[in-house]
Amino acid sequence: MMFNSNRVRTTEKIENQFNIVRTILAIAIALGIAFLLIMTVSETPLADFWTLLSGPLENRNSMITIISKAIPLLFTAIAISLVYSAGQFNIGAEGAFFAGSVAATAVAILPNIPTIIYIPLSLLAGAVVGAIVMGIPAVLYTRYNSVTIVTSLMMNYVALYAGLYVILNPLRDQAAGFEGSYAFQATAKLPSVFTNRLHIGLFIAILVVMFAYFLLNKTTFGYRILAVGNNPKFANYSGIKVNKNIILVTLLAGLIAGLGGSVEVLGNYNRFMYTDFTNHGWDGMMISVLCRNNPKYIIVGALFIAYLQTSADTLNFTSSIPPEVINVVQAIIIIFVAANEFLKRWEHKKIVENSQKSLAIGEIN
Amino acid sequence: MFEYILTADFIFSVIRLSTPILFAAMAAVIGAKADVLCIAYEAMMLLAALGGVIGSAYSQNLIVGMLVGIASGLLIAGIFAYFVLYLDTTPLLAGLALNIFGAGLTVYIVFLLTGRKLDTSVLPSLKFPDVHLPLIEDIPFIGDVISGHNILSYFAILTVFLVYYFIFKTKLGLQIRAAGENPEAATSAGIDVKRTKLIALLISGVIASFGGLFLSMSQMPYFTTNMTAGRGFIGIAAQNLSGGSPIGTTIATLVFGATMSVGNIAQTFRLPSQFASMAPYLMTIIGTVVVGMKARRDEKKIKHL
Amino acid sequence: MNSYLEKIEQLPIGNEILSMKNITKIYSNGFVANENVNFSLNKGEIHGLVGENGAGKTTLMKVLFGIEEPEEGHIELANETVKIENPLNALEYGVGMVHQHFMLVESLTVAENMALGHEPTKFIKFDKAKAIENVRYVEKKYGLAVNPEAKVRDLSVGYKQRVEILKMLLHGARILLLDEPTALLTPQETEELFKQLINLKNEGYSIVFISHKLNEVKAICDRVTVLRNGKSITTVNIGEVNETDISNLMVGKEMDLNIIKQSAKPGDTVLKVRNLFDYNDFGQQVLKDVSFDLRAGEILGVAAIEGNGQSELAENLVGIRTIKEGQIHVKNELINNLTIREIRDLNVSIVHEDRMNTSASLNQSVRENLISDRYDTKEYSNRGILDTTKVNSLALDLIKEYGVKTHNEKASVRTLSGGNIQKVVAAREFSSFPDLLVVSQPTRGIDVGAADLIRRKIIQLRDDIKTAIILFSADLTELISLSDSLIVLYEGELVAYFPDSLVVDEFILGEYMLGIKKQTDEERRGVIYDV
Repeated sequence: MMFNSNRVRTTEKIENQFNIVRTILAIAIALGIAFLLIMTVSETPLADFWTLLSGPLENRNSMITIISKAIPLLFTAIAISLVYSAGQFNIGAEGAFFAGSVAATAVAILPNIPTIIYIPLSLLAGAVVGAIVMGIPAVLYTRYNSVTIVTSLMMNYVALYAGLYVILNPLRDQAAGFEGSYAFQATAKLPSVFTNRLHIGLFIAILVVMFAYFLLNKTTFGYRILAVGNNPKFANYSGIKVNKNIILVTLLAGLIAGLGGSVEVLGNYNRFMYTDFTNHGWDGMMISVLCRNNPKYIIVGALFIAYLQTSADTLNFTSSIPPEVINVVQAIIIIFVAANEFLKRWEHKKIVENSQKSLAIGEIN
Repeated sequence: MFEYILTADFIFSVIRLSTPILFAAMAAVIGAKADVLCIAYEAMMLLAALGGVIGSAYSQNLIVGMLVGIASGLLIAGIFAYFVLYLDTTPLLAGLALNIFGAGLTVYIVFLLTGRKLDTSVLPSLKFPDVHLPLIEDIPFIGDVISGHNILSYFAILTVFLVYYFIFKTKLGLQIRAAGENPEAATSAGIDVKRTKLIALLISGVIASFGGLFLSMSQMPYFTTNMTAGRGFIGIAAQNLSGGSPIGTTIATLVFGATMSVGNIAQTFRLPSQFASMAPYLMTIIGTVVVGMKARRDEKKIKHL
Repeated sequence: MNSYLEKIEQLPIGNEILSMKNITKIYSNGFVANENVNFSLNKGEIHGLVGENGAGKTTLMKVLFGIEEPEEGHIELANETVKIENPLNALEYGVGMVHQHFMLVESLTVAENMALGHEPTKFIKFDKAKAIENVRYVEKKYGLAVNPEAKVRDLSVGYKQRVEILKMLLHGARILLLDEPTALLTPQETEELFKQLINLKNEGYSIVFISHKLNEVKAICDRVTVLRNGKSITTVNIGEVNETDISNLMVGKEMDLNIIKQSAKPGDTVLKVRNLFDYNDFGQQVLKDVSFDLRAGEILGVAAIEGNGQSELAENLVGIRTIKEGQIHVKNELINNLTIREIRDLNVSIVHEDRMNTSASLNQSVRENLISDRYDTKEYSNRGILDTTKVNSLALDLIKEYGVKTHNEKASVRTLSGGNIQKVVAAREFSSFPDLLVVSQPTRGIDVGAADLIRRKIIQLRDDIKTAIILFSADLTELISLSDSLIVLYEGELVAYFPDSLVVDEFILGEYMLGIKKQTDEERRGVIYDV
């Protein structure tokens, strides 16, 4: 068969183009439906739609909110992208995040801990618990062939209720008047940066993203993970211990998700106040899918989702339209981006046309 | 507390609490037989619950409300089936997206209709009647347990038999099992595997919808935002735990319903309710370990032939 | 449609019932699977179809059964040209196929499986009684005993096959295509099958029997057609030939490969295999007491028809399959309990027969595929961090040395042609200067240029590095010209050893590969140098 490097190059270009088209079309459809929804409740649909699109750009405060909202998303998205890179459908980031925040709380409310180790210790506690939550399904998979999606999904709820129990019982501040833990010790909370609405968790998040990118692309461990995720038979044949690496990368992902939970709670609040899932885990999964599990794009993806969440809040503030409209947008984007066959026939036609064109021109290598 | 478990009240509440889960679980059974990993039952139930309320409120007709509810749940099932079967979407992501979609959309619609995001209690929606079985209701203990349930609870139990009959005794059920277990063999026998799975998912959707209808149109005749509270997932857990058999799934569902009932009264006995809430999920995880251990033992047996 | 079936019914036994004329089938990668093949079947005969792997017999049957469409040629049934579009269509014409992988749903009963697609119903209810009745009807009619209510997963392989055959008969098949029917059967089950086939034959059914096992073909077929390299060679009456004749027809000599090599100068023993046994997942024995030695600087070729144990042998040698019984030593070290990684660390290289799924990772780049055996060595990484400069320069060097046609080392391997993918695999596995190279099907399905390069590199390894090489290849010409000495596997047993491949030809090899001949113990012990 004739090898044609130009043809291959343009086939890849066409595929990339179509991925972009698919994403843009998904966003367009989602926004279109959002507009329809807004029309039903609002008397000024165009203005409100405009607020949805550009609200956060209008003032500095909103920009800070976007960044603040993006921080937890970065942790969970990276966690998911790591396990996906190993071919694992482990969706336990939500539970790991929650459990991590509970563990960090448990440490942060203890008095008489020396300041310098206070924060690292709390964060560590959260990370370790997160690793356990995501790690259990991985172990069950390698030892008993349990279906990872199911066990990790279940673990989310186990972590949620176990965490709630801990917060509402041993850690509960009876004097607080609502359902929450004791207050965090002042020295356990994360110091602010730039403004009093952002905290050093921002830097930790960025470091995590860089670390994940570096790990996957530049280290031998990353090489093993990608091999296992792309083709376990090849990995095995190359001498890579498939099961061991699956467990390791899942533990790492859990560490990161748990760390994210700790960071979020110690950076933004005075005490633990969650009463249900934060949804950061599910959002992180969506971002990871949107960005095709590549840490490089995840920062943009997290900002994008944070942007949507902020604009929904802004919209709600200015016009009392429920912010849930953004959930609808998110869901539609996800399902269209994940639909592999969407526009596939058109893409295939273009690829074939391109091949025939280059054969006609007579490109031989 | 142990005395309470033996009272008629307790068993009655177990049946009541198990009803929506049972619908979700039966839907999951059919989905599993067709070998489609569907986690969107939550969204189907939610939309059906809202649809039933809206339909009955505006038409003041219970049957119309029921049909609107079923249509709403079916819509979700249809979208799921289309994306997964014809647009090659990973079922996990499609299910996740639809659950988020359902949660968001229902809140939005409630706001649209009531101006608030809490519930639809201002709407004059109808409810399905409770049924008091004549004669039986007079029997001591058994009467208190069996009689007086909402009609949908009885229907849920009937659904178990219907699903069993459907899967194991009808032609379509046979084709669904073949398509799910060995699509190649089914195709070579002339069965359109995609179409068969589509039908299975739509039927699942109808059954799950009844779960939603029960939530918003039985004891509490209105829709509360996020009222499914994970029952769709518990239904999936029940199906998983029993390996997909309708009878086993029913037993698992009743066990989960019992833990929910215990959880409800736990607070009065100063027991943490979270353990009860956690129980179905924990049991499912342990279940997969048990199944996995058994499979390993079986494998070792074959290798030693 | 019914007119065809009627015509077939009325056709006298012995007349031609099916004719495939000038069938040419070319796959989309350019591979010519069938070239002008002619095949005819008479009513009431059992017609054997033989040929090596890649000879085109499965493709021919796929065309007949409607799974593939030929580029040229046509099919005639009872002297009328028909177009067979898909398997259901084939069945309507009375053609039924029993595949090697059974089309059965394990959790359903025999009756349910046989009813699939044509289910008898009473309203929506599946009429189980009628389905059972149907089964009993065909059971009696053809004398093939089955229990309609048994669950398929509880049945033995032979039983399942009987169900498959009955299924075809129930749906009206008059012509049965059996693809390697005895591959998984015990001798007793094979006997049972043959009895049933003869019964069917006597009832006027026509059977195509595809097989490698010449003794069986000789036992049960009336005529046999031989395919070789996509062409039909001849059709003969079974009475007029013996197994050796058939074997000779199957393995005829092809073009010269122009392989120039000096004679080997073997050194010390590198690989020692003693009393190796192996079993597959069904508990069947796939290797029986295999023992041989391999020395440095020598190429040992392993000749075997596919399915006779060579895949399992190759995988036992490198740790992909765990050694169940027997010992294997590499450079005097016992490898029975070593991991693949540990075996590779003994300076062993592996070219697996499954290029697309095992030797290469299609979704990853050329560069990533090239470093999979050395990414974490001191040369290319430092404390866990990849030295990207060194990795890139290695990739570029190897791409150049092996002439891999790719526009970029970052390109996905999926975009490469088969030959270039194999070059990537070879580049990686050969460039580590291995002491032992286990290479399977190195040139299967790739272009001449790449094949040539890879063969030359193998000889180079033997001469320059003194690599001990064990070569598994279905291409007998390649096997004989590339190897210094040869062993033959038949049904998992080492049946022959030829110390000098120069004096061996395909015909001789064929007889041992097909089980017609077997060497004495003494001759076979010749391949053991280290006692």
